[in-house]
Amino acid sequence: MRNNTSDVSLGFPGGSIRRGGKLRNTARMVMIMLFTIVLCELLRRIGIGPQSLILIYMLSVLVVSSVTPSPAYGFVAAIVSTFTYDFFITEPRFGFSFYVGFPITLITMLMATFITGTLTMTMQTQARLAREREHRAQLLYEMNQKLLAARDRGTIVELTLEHLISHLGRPAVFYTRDPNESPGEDHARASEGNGDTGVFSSPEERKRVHRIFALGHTDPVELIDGQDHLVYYEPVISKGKVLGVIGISNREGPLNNGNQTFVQMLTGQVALALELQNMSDEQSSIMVESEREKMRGTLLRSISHDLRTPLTSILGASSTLLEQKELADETRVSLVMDIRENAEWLIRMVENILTVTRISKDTRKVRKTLEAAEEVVAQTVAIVRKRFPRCLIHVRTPDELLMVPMDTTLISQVLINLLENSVRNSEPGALILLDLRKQCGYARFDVSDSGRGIPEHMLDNLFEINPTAPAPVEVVDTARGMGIGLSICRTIIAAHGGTIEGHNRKEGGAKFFFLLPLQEGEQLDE
Amino acid sequence: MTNKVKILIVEDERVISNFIAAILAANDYQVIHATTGKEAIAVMASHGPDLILLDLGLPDIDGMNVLKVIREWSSLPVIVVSARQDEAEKVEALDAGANDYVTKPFGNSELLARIRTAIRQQAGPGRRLPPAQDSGFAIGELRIDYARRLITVGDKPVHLTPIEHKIVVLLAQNAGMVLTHDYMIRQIWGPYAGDSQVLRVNMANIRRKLEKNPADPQYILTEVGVGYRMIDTMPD
Repeated sequence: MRNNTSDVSLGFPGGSIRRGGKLRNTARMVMIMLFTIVLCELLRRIGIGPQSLILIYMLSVLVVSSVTPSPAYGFVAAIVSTFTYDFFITEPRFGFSFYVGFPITLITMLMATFITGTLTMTMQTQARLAREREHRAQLLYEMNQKLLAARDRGTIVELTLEHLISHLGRPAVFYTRDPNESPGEDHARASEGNGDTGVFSSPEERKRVHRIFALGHTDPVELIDGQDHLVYYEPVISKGKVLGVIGISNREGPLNNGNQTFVQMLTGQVALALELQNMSDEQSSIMVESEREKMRGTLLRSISHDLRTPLTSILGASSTLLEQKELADETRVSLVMDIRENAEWLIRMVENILTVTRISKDTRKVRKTLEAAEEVVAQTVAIVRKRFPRCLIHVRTPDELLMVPMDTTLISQVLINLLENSVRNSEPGALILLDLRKQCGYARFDVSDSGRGIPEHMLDNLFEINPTAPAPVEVVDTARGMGIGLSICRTIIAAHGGTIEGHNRKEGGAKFFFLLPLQEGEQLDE
Repeated sequence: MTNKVKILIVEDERVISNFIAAILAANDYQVIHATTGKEAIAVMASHGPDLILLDLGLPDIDGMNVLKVIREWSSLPVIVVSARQDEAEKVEALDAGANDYVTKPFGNSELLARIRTAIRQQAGPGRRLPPAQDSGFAIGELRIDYARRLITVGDKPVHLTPIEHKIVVLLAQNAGMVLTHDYMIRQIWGPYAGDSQVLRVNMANIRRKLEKNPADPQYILTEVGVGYRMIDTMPD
């Protein structure tokens, strides 16, 4: 009984105040008694008989026991009334006569008090339970509103724990997965200054949670002797599948029925919310998947078209060399050169395609490490120089060492694509400038040339793959493949949380630049 | 038998080993083949090659394991041929004792340069050991005098901090070879220093003092994600 009371008062901080303190109740009682004595004295003076006055005394006792929570006040009031009636009303006045009816009056008064007290108690208990129910309903309603607004699993778990802890005043835990399968994945939380979560982490408790996950319900054996456990568990079940398990510390004593019902109702709502979340997750993953499928399809169509030409050329040239015994040396050399040129082009193409696979399939994120930007720039320029020995690339880097979180292979690929673009669109030996600098929390890479510039019709969707556009089928070193190269650049830069842009320079030639965030986690919105 | 340098090519793709063999033969090397890891180990024991070109993707044993088996009883130069663009794999191979690596697709001149460097290193001091009282190092306009702790570019002396000096000397003594970040950190700061950030800052400072254009270094090249390499021949 004591336990229960303290439990409730923890849940309802207002409860004990409403029922009043001891002092206030005593004051109430004394006031009523004094009022009765004065009233009866006045009535007696105008000639009302003692038979009527005793009824007034009786009434006052009933009033006392109905406005005070404990029957004790009523009993005290009854005894005091009997004595004051004897003292003030019956003859001799201002003295005790202990008249014949005294014990009967006393017993009647006490019995009346007792009956009233019991009735009052029941009423008050009913009222309290109603208030609790109302409060719970309110909580559940609020919870429901918030759960419906929650957008991800983490928020749902947080909300549930918050409500449980604030309502019950006990540490609670929410397992979204079987702790035996993925240790360290629980969401244990304790309310402030109220017990610790240590009770959840014992191997025995983990075993119990595991059993609930495995069985799909609480172990029936536990229900029989369930009161002794340190933690009360309630599985979150939807369509017969355990979506999670909520645990509440029992260290402060077992939960009362009302609170158990509350937990069960809350669990039902959580199950609904999690189920909804699962459905929306599934749907969005399907959408992402179909989007990626579409992109892959576009890429594949565009690539296979571009691959066929150099492969045909290599096959043709090598067959010619094998079959035609009498070729002029010049023709031989030119055929071999063709083979090499086409093979080099194929390698670049394949490298570009391979980089896309480095971008993680699920998150479209890349594995970043902190790298010195100038080292990546220098190495990339060396690679391009090896491919195009006649090109003239000038590099500028800032005095300050710029450390940028990036996947070096990918960023290097972006730079290669941009530099090669410039080389192909410039006169042999024309100057190409690669400029690296810091700009408002970003590392900025500029590649500019003084070549032919970007064709007018491409400016609007420079980084889009356009498989319907007729690919020029002349020689290898045209703009063929440039579309894929640039679209891959954009994919890579976007995965790094940066932006890429390109335009024509006023002085002639093209300029591309991209920005990479210097701090991990800073993302530019697209 | 002639005293030609004997090179063992371990490669399962016939097309690739064919053309490598052709280049090597044309450059006066003697070539032997192995197509599997087991064969490679057997051939190595029976033929005693001077250098091994080891492909990491072999049909039977992982190339990395072949390398480890070889290193258990031999210090002959091994150049790893890797198709994958995975820096971690290169670092692992270098730390397991490979002398150098080339990434497919590679150019002929690149492959030959790597082979020359590896053989020269073998003929001289052992891998990654300080040379026996070598007096200095010179490449292009860069001169390093070990004994007098003097570094000059052209006529101008370069003033390095003691740590920077140690780094430059370490690279020079292993010129032509890639030194991994970990290896350099252990050599310069000892076994318990683990921060590659400090190394990078030092390298950036060295570049600014040593190179004409630090953005476009001539002498110390970066192998991003792997380490650094001091060149041992000036490019044409």
